[in-house]
Amino acid sequence: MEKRAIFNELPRPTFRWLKVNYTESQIEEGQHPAMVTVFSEEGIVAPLGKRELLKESFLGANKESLEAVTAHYTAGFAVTVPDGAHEKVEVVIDADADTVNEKTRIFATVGENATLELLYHLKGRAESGNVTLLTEVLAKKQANVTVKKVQLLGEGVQQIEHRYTKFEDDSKVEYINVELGGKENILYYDEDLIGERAELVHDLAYLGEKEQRFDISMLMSHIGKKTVSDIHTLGALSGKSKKAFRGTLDFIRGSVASEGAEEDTCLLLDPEVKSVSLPLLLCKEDNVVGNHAASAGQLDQTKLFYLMSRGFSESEAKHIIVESMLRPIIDRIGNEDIEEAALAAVRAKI
Amino acid sequence: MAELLRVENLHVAVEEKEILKGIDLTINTGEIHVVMGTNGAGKSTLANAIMGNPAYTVTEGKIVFDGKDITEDAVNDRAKAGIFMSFQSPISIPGITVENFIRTAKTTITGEQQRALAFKKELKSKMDELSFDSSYAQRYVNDGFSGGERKKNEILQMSILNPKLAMLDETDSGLDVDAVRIVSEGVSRFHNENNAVLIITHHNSILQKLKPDFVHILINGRIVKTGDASLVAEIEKQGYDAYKALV
Repeated sequence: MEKRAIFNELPRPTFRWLKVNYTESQIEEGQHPAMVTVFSEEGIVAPLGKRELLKESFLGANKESLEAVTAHYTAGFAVTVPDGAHEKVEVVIDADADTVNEKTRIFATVGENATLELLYHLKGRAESGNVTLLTEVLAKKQANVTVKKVQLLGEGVQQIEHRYTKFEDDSKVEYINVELGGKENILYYDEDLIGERAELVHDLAYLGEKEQRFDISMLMSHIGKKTVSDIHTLGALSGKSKKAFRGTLDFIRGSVASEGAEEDTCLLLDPEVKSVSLPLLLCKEDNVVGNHAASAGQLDQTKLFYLMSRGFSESEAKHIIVESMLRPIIDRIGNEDIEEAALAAVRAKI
Repeated sequence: MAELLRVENLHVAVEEKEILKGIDLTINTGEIHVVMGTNGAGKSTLANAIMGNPAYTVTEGKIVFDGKDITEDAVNDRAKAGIFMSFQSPISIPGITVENFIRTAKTTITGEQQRALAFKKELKSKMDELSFDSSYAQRYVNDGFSGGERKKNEILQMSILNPKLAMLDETDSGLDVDAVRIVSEGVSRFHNENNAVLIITHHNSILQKLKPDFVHILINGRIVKTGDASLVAEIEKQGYDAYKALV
């Protein structure tokens, strides 16, 4: 009998009959670790060794999966950017065997007034198994951190991502995800905006087809004063693909003058797709601003007409609309080869 | 002069409400036609129906373009046949640059691959003519554009796609006087003896560089009067009251 487990549980459950408080699934098994390659300047990246979680109470997408990648990772690296330094690190996770069992853990410490640009590129021919990725980021005072991720795994692979970020005063963190591959993608992001004036921007693009699943959880805890978070997930679903978005803005007492915004946009291309959106707003502080918006709909007929009036067939116009939705995020990856690979994947899927 | 467009007894409905109630209109090459009328009279419906917008249902009558009945043709087939519509509210397409969009559209319409260098030159030249900052070629289509820039972008597309029939649906609305003049000059440069222009407008300002051959007054889904350019001035002066009585 398969072992079902709970993933991406809402921090505050809603009505049980809605069946959206968590996702049930199982951790897929695979055989071979991926080939993990790290590109960086010398002295920035070191083997991780044994390390406790940055946040002891970090839940991750699933307890068992988090414990496994924390203690038994197959590739683990500590990225340390000294105060005032500016560094770029690229991590390529290539699932190049038929069946993959990869657990990568990255612990990034970005010093005061330092900059880190971390790029993940997940790819490979594996058609089954699991890739789990744990990233912990400590953004010290006035640090600037960008984490870009392009995920082009095979369509039979399960991907589980756990990410935790701790923000100190005036730190700025930008996350960009382009999620195109994988059979089941369970993504969990926990952001503790502890320092005053800390800022987070997180844009996540996805494109689902066939039976693909995207289960996205984002928890933004505003703890420090004048903290800002702005997240946006957007994508399109075709075939029988599914997406669930659980976004929680949590304004803790004391987070005076903080602002948070969350938005989920989903284009439904086929009648059998399923999109669930759960923007949650928790607030124990008076003087804050929280915005949330969710939209799921079919193709904009005016847009379709406009494009067809310029000579494009209906099918070409749909391609343009989907590509134009994802392209602004893909264009921000900043690595031409990876952008091209992502665009090729988008075009192949639509 | 050859017949380019013939609209015969055209009835058009939107969500089962009849908007056009029997339009007859013939446009020959080399001509400029202006359609004026009250709000809600059906002016934009006429352009949309000719372009083939599926939201507008032709319930009776036919549209013949370049000798072929196109009443049932898809929108893109009409575009390929040589019909262009400048939208009243052009939409934005984030992720696709102006240059890439127009170049791909031209390739699709003409069926000929557009050489990158030659196309860039043509685009730059047309943008200069429209006083359109050429850096906009690398911006996403209409994304963050002002109303005037969006309309200029429509005229830019028209001049490069070079259709046989250009329909301008209130292209002058919301534009300042300088922008209207630039748009008017753009249409004037485009127009020649081999193509035709159908202008839908409320004002005569877009006509400052153009001399219409025919002006049609559309009231409540019917063309109630057709005349020459002098009709525009008459409408500006006296309004539509006298024509409403004709319905």
